[in-house]
Amino acid sequence: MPDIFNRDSLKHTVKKEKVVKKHRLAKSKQGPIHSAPQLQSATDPLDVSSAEVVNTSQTIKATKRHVDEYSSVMRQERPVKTKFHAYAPKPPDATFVSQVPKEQIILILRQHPITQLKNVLIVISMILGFVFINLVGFFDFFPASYRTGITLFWFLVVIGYSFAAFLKWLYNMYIITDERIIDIDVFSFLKRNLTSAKIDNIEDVTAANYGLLGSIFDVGIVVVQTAGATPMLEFGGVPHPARVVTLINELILEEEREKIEGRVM
Amino acid sequence: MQLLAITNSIVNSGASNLLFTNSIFFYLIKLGMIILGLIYLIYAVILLRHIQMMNETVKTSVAGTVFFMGVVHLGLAVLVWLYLLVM
Repeated sequence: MPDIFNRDSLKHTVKKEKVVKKHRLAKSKQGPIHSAPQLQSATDPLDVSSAEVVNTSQTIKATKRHVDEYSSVMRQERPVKTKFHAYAPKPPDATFVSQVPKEQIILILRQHPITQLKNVLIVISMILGFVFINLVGFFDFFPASYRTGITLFWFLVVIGYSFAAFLKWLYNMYIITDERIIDIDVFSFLKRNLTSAKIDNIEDVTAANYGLLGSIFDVGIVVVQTAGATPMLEFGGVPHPARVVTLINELILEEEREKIEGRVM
Repeated sequence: MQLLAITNSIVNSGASNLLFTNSIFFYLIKLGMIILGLIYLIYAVILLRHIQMMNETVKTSVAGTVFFMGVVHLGLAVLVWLYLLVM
């Protein structure tokens, strides 16, 4: 069983499997087929560590594997519709604007709802503050129609604030596909950022849980360091950060396998 | 009699001044609220446009629902503004 975190071991295992297959095929038909690999100065035909393996001229058709075939994390997850979930694996209902054909969305992440506690407290204090001011009798000298107008307007502002905070949470998302990682940041309604990084360019992935709520609800930060124009992508306040890191590592390995096996799309 | 008449006229002008000041005050409050309502209306339209653009960027099964919520929010803003106009 290859150590999936050791790329050299993986390359070695893939080469070994190719040589074994060719050797058995050649042996059964008592002769080489097409251009079998030539092993030079090897006592054991299956030992490729010191032998030079000549690659076959056969090209392997580009076939993309489903994420369940190579990811232990996704094998344990059932498809979940994106809707209002913070962690939606294999969403069947999501597409995004720069998605290429055959690009699979593997995971959609949003900030955990617990990160919105501050906004919830602000809304509650806005409502309670208004109720308190009314009880004190601050608006008593206004005519009744004015009091109604002020109340309606105030609650409209409260609804507007909570709706805006909800939209900011909803559209601030991280999309992981089998080719890229996309970070959609909504800073305000006049400022949005869409950053993407290819899986090939990822150099390092780190996860961290922090704080009391982070430890209780398994919420943390995932930092992805890339070799591209954007050196770092940060997924803050996401659920299950360790699982996300494992998934990204598995995607990196699958990209390496695709290159070795010639399954590059 | 003349003194009473003068005193009455002074008191009446003060009372009408007070009433005049009061009505100016409420008129200004109403004007301020109408202007704030108009600004909020523009904000509700921007929010709806933002929802539309974000739905084009990432399309999910709740795109329609969120857009409908935005329309309802805009409708509420319009109703409140109309009430502020007629109050």
